[in-house]
Amino acid sequence: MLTVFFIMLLGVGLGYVFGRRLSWVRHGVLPLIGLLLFLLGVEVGGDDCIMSSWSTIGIDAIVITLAATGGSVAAAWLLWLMIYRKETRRRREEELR
Amino acid sequence: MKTTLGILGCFVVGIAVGRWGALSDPVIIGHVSFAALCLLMLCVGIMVGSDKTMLRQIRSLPRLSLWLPVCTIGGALAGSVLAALLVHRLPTDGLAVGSGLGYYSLSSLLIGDLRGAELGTIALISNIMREVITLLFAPLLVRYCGAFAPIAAGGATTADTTLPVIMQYAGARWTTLSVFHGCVVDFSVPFLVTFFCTV
Repeated sequence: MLTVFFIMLLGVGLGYVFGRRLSWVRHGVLPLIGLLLFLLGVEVGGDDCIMSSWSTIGIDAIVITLAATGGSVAAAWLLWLMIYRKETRRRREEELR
Repeated sequence: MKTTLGILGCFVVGIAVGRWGALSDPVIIGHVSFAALCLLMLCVGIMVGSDKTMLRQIRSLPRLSLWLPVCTIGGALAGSVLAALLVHRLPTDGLAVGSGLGYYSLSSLLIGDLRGAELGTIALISNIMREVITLLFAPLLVRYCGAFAPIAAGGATTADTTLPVIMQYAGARWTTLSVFHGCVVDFSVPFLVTFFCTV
């Protein structure tokens, strides 16, 4: 899978060098995503094992989503508290002066 | 939202076609998928590389807030490992899905290609849900967990689809941070997903 990774890095280099001259590529992204998701769907639809385990897949997806989003929110909340406390302290010090 | 529905529509039509058995040669599907994936990654890379406005935006932000993308990614990875253990899956399965961070199209395709269609489908559902959660619960997140919470919840989508909601509820003051956060997380997704799929 390193191929995909290096192709992306090649793209970053091309984008950096040619900049706006390659801005038309963004129009190709959505059709490519559509095609790939269609093909993923074909694979899923043709796989009896996946089709018979939709409930398990759904529950797994819900649990992972809630935990991943919750983890991000909790970490962001801690950062917010740190910044908020720092700002409050700075304002108090300014008021005391 | 229209784009999300359109993308979801492609997946649903694909399931119907797969069920009907019209396109049944997995070798041809695999080759076409891989070629399209390479082309997509090249396009994504070009878009990332050509965006030179980010540096200017970063300079105007409070220094400590620049750690927000790290918090988002770290928190998501920690939560994903716990979730994977809870549903009796491999920790790397959870990490691969969780590191999609709302970038449902690319992450599900990469995971589908590297770890199979089942985990790819979980990634698609999971990362669409992440975007929907942010759109629906942004006001509550701001109220109870601060202005950074909806930005963290939005993950890779905070520079585009969830930006209007974040601006409205977290305040226009954090727009630049939201864009910066979206760009950094967006850029990290293909690397993280590929990494967790291959370990």
